[in-house]
Amino acid sequence: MTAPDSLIDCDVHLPAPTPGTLLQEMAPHWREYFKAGTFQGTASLINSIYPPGAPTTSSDEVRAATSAQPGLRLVGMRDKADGIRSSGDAYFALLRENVLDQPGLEAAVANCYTALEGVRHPYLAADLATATNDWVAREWLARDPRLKGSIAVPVLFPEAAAKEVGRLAADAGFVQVLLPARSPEPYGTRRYWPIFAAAAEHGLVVALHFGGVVGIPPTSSGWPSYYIEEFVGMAQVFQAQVMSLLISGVFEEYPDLRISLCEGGFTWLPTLMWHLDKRWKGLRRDVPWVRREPSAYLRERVRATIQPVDAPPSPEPLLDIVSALGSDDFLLYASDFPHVHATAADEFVALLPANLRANVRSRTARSFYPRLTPQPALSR
Amino acid sequence: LIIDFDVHQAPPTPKHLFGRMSPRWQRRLEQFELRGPREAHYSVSGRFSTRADAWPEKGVPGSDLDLMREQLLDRYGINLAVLGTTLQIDAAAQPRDLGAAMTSAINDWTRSEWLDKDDRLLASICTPFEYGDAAVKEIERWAGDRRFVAVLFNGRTERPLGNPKYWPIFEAAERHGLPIEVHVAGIGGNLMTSVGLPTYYIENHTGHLQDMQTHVVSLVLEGVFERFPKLRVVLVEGGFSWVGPLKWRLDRSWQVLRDEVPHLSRPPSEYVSEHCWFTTQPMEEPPRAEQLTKLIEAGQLADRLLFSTDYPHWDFDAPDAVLTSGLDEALKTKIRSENARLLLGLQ
Repeated sequence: MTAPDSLIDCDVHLPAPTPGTLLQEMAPHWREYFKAGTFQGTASLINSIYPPGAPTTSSDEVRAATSAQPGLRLVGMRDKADGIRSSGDAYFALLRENVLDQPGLEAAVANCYTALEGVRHPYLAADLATATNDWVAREWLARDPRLKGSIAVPVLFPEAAAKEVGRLAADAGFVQVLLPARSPEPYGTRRYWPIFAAAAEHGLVVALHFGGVVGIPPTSSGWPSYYIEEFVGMAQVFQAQVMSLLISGVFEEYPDLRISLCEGGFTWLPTLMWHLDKRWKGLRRDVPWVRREPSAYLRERVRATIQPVDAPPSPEPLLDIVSALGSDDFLLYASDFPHVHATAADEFVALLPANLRANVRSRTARSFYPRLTPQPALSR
Repeated sequence: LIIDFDVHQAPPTPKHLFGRMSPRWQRRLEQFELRGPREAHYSVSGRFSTRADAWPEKGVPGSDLDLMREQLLDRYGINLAVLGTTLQIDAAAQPRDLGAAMTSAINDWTRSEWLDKDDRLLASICTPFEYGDAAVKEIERWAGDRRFVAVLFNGRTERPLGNPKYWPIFEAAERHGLPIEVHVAGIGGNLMTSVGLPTYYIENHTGHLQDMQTHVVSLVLEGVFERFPKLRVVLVEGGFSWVGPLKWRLDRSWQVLRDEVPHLSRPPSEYVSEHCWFTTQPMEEPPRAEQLTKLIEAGQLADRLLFSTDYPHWDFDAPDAVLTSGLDEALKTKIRSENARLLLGLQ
């Protein structure tokens, strides 16, 4: 067993490559497409999820240190898609300092969010995903074996997404598939199942992550007015997805499917569990494949990262919520670097009893992520 | 004393109600029916989503006062019940003038067929709430009748409820001391969840919780309670155990993002604590009873919960079957009647 102080950080962020950077990886016709101005990149979409100047997006330190980096769409930076091959040294230095150099750091699962779900062109979306993943592997994962990748997929085109998952399955540096929390149809809908099938087949977790630009309003009552509403409201988006996944039968269909909820909070989960379990008693004849209480599938097959903590003023109600999750093996440590939240991850972890603290810091991730479980079979 | 904050009355047939409308709209409805955005079909909701035993000999569940007395008011000793018809869901999705005509007819019918016939009945004012001017007109018609105790919205609106398009209605409600009541469901022209149309009825039904959270977030962050400091909002049938955690999330997000909402002078949770009430049905049923007590404390909800049955719907909460869990007697009294009595200013 590893040391009790070992740490697995399940949500850190990589900067997004500019279109110019990606086009280096792509077929010549896409470069023409780009030069002609037909495709200008997804920056405006990424910025709608993580506004470059917003206090939540990154600290001033990160903004300052990375603003001179060519070829990267660093979090918090507006730059031109100039086609210069990136050099992520300054960002990597920050990543090392803030994440990789943490005592006991065993692995850090990195997400590179490029808002591909906003690209409606199916072939462009697929090729952008391929280019993004290859760039992530070469530019970032190669720098430190503890840095693990998330596979970007053209999520609106599940067959192509499954193919991309299959293409990268042999690369043990990727440990999960990244889906944005917002989608135009709930993820339990059958059209998405090829993605879940591919992930389950290859021992990859599916991460639902804060974000998504999909052309439908982010609430059931249309568009809100302020970013802070979307930020707070992302918890409701996650609730809709969890509800759909638990009811759809996808966990029965794919016994190896595992879902992690990233950057959406977790304090809303007990309410959702109780309400789904209660309604399931009255409505289960409509969904007979849900053989157990929906919360049972959640505890077994879903995990959540801890950041943002959404902490109350005093710790007791938060510990009550943690206890109401009904599992000591549910929460995953996440710094969410370089994003800024009101409560530091370590502040929350320090509140937990020792056994739970060790679970959150690394044990839960190690047993949940097949590719973080020590075993000789996979190699990079 | 028991006050039931959520009971659904219905006309025996829609025609019964349409007869109260002008020939123009009667003819329109005869020829083209009720239009507006249509929801997808969800199979288990059944006709009117009601209890199987709530069908009277004639008409539909909720349309027969005698049966309502027998199954609800007399049986459980309900002292006061607040009526709100689900017909408003359709009315609010109509063209403005038709919606106005329908809601006028609904309120007239509610007065003459219900409020005038049983002293235990109160009602919410139906309005075409997507159109502020028309809605305010309808509020003015009923503000003088003390038996109309709230202004009714549905949970799925065209925009989140804090949007300035709804402010004229809030202004009128505040002026007349009427709380806003937001009842789940509705046809606002958007998709049923924040991630599109779900597949199964249980998702539709559980999704009501998220709809309600959206409105609390919007009302607070748009600064509605700064602008209308006496406005009170009752969220009906959308659960309440999420209120504490949502307050924490609002406050923590505001701590970092407050530059965007300088129109707020206080932490968001304080507006929720002061301005929002929540009904109990469908009752929260955590695995351990003390979890409920703790969440009520954490959400500061002891003075904010209002008992409701949702008669005659399938997920009806009987007064003698819920409120039996580990809650202490003083809290039960507040939930059963005291909180509603204070909210409505009743003697």
